Amino acid sequence: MKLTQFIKYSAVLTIFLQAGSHKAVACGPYYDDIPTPSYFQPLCDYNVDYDRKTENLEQWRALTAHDIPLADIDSVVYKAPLKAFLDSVKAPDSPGSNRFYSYLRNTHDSEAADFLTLAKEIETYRAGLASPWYYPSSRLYMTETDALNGFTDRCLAYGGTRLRDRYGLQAVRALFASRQYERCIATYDSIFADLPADNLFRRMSLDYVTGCMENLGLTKDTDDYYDEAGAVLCIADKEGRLRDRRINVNAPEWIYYIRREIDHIDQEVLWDAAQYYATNKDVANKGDWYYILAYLAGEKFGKNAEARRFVDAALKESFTFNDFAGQAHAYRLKISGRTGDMTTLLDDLRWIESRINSDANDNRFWSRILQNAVYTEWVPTLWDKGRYADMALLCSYADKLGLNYVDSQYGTLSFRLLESLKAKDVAQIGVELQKSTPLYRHLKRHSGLTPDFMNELTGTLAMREGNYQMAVNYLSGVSPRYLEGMNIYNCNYLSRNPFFQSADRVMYCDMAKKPLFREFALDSYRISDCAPDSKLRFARQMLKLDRIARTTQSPDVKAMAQYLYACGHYSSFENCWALTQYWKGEYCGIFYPYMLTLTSRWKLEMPDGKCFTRLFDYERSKCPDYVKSLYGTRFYELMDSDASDEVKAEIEYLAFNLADVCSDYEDTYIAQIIRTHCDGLKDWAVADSDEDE
Amino acid sequence: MHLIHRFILTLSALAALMLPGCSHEVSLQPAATREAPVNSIYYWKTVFSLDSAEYDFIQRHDIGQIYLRMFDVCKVKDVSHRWSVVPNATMRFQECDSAGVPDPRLSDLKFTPVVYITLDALRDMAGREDFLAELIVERVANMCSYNRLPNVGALQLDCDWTGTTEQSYFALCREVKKKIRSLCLPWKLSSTIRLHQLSRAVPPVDHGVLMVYNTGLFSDPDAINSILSLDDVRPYVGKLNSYMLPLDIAYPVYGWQLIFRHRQFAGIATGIDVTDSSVFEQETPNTYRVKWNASLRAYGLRPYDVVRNELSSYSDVISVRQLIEENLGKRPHSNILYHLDSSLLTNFSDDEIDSIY
Repeated sequence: MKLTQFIKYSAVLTIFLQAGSHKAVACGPYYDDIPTPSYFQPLCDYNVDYDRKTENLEQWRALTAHDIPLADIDSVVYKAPLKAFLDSVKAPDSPGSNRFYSYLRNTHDSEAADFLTLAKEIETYRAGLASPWYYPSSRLYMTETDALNGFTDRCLAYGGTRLRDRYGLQAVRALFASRQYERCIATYDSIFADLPADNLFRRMSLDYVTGCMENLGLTKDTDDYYDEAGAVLCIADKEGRLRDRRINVNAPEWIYYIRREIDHIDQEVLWDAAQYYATNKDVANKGDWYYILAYLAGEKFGKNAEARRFVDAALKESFTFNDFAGQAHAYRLKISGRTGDMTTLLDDLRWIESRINSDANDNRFWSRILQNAVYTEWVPTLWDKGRYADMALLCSYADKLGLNYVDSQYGTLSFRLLESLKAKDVAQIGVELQKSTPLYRHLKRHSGLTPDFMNELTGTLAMREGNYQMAVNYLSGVSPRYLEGMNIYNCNYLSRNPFFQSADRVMYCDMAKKPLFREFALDSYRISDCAPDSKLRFARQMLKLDRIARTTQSPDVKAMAQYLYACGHYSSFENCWALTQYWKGEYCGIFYPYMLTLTSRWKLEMPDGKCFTRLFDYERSKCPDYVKSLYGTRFYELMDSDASDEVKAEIEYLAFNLADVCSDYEDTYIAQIIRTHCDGLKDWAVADSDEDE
Repeated sequence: MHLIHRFILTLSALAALMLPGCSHEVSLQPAATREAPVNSIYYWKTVFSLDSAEYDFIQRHDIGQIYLRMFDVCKVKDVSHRWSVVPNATMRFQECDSAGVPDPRLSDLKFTPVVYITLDALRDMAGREDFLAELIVERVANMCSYNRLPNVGALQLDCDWTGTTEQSYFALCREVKKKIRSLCLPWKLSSTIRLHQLSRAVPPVDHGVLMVYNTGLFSDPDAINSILSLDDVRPYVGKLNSYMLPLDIAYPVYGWQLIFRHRQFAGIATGIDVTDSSVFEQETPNTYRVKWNASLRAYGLRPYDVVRNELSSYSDVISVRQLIEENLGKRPHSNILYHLDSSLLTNFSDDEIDSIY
């Protein structure tokens, strides 16, 4: 029988579906955890020692042509054996050739080619000496000495200046290999005395000089030589030298070492040393030391304001490493967020955006920087200060430019933050977003907080709060085109009627023909066609029902209006939850900014701030207790009203309480329909009847 | 005139043939020409240092030649975990003063440097025998020069080559000879020959040394004496007289102790006192088992380990020598003892040593 089928149909539990502005999926979306970028350690494998090779390659590039890739120079300078080098330099140039070879061929830079030839000859010979097969033929090492002296003489015969330091290193190497230690030291002194201490080849030569001294038994001052050579790892008491301010402060190896070992060096020692070197006139790159101070102040000592001052000072100076300078600039964005100082925010965002857009850099790294700084610092700070508009716009900007961005605003952190606010707060944000300051104009270029989005969200939050007038005001400001693009409409999440759990039930009992329904219920009945403006129409209907209930003189009309209002309110959190929410389910995989530190000590950097604890918990979301309670209260109130039994029976019937209809309102039309049409006796028969059976 | 021209041309041709190709005087002896037999001995330690007993031994037994192990050639993994063929266990010379002048007692001795090549290394260098030959010869030459080794007249290669490595080893021998010539070294090339190799092709060398020791399998738990056994030698001696290479013969005068654990070879040792009845129980004339309740882990042994004492007894050596001599016929040869170690040579009397020679 039809009634039986309706009951069975209606008894099916509501299926909770994932909804939102994504295509419907069973689980997810799954967002990657955002790795926390390093603001200090070298961006290469931080277990690797300082790479003089890269420094050398960069200097070769500066000496020859700035557009030669370092990899090409590496292939020629470091990897090509002597014979292959000689053959390649003489070979005709062709498209696709190694560009360093092309340079040597086309410019006839014989000075560079001659040097590389000699260097490779020396290297080949030294490799032979280092071979396990090597065995000297005489105790005087005459053959080896003669050969190496020949190389040395050729090095010392160079009369130019361009490659003098390089020839000097080769001479030192040859003399060391031939065990002429005193002559090696003397040669070093004569060639490098007037070159600066941070000269790469002077530092490299010092490694050999130190070896000479150890072979000669002059071990007393080797630490000083190691220091000058930048052989930081060979120095016995590195912290002692830092404490005593006796380091070769312009050797890049020291800065590399400090960057790598920042967590292991005594911080007080480093703090004192950095303060000294940051203002020392002999220091070439004071930016390094100011940034060390900033990082210590901010990350180790909790002195955020000082950190901000130091990083500002750092950015006015030069750095040893370009990537270190970049990290310092990024750190300013982070530390400013911690203090809420917006004075350089626009400049910092423009700068970081340029890094993200640049092909030469790792744009994923800079995206992570942006997200880390905004999510962990700016968002909590601005939230605590009640600057919700700034927070939402900045967060939306970071969402858009950062990683993990999905093609919908409804999966972002900014959306989750906004959704955690009251409707009036979101409305106020919408007003403030109309500002046209330089910062806002920049942020809005990459923001998802469009007027449609804000209006739609405000209206939905208002509905969630039961403020249907506000909901109507805002939802009516959302463009049809925007609504048509939302999945909750495209995927039939609003196909159910919030006022009637089974629309056929109304038709079956001919309620639709009753004057009561003709007056207003039919409108309610027609909500369920999944039109883009369903939310707005629902809000309007709720307003209408509320007005009718307050203004009608008829107890029957009032009761029915109250029932439909209560039912609509409850349904908007239950089976029609898409009216008031955007996600629902066991696991939505809503984005949460877990930050993982990318060091060998993986730890979770949770964003700080209570704003994150207030995020709406979709995973455990269900119809709030207060909504259920309110429905129950309203239902019992209207059932206690002066409405007629017929109407009360109809209400019970609409609420699936068939047994109550037959027991409490047995003489009503509805009870008669039930008794004569309902196949399932147990659905409507009262308890006594059940026992009789 | 015509005749004079022909005469001059002939003289010129003869002169050209006679001109040496190297700056050194080279004496290339045909393989069939043998030097007079000389008592020889192998030296197989990693430090060349002779004590007075050893000098005395050399003198008493009129030893004129020492076969000196210079280094092994092995295949090892380097620090970057790549396999490479390198010299290993290079001899350290301590028979020189601080100026590098060798002990004058060595001045009348001939030295033959020996290089032992493992099969792994040989296989790894297959196809590059010329490169390996260059490495070996140059290194040995430098070692001889640096340490002023006197009277070096030959280089010996020691390799237990098999059927699958024979080609490579023979190629190495040829390349070594070429390299010796190119460096104008007055060296012949010799090779060790093992008993089982007597039935194989003859390596392209000038001279061979038949190793009449390690005749059994030392890792065989049931072997009685893997150093020397007449029964192990007998099957091979029939090929001696027809072997197309001048041979000298090397006999063992050493001993060792082999450790077996659960009938698996576990190692070589020396100096274990197997007469200690609190630790050992004799099972056979030359095997001793560690008692189950032995209270000490002496020598790294465990309960139930078996120690097999192997010695080169004079009777075994002389029996084998007799057999060898019978089968060699009248082929001139020298006898060589393996190896020079005063602690081992005390097992033989002077007469016994002389009778082996």
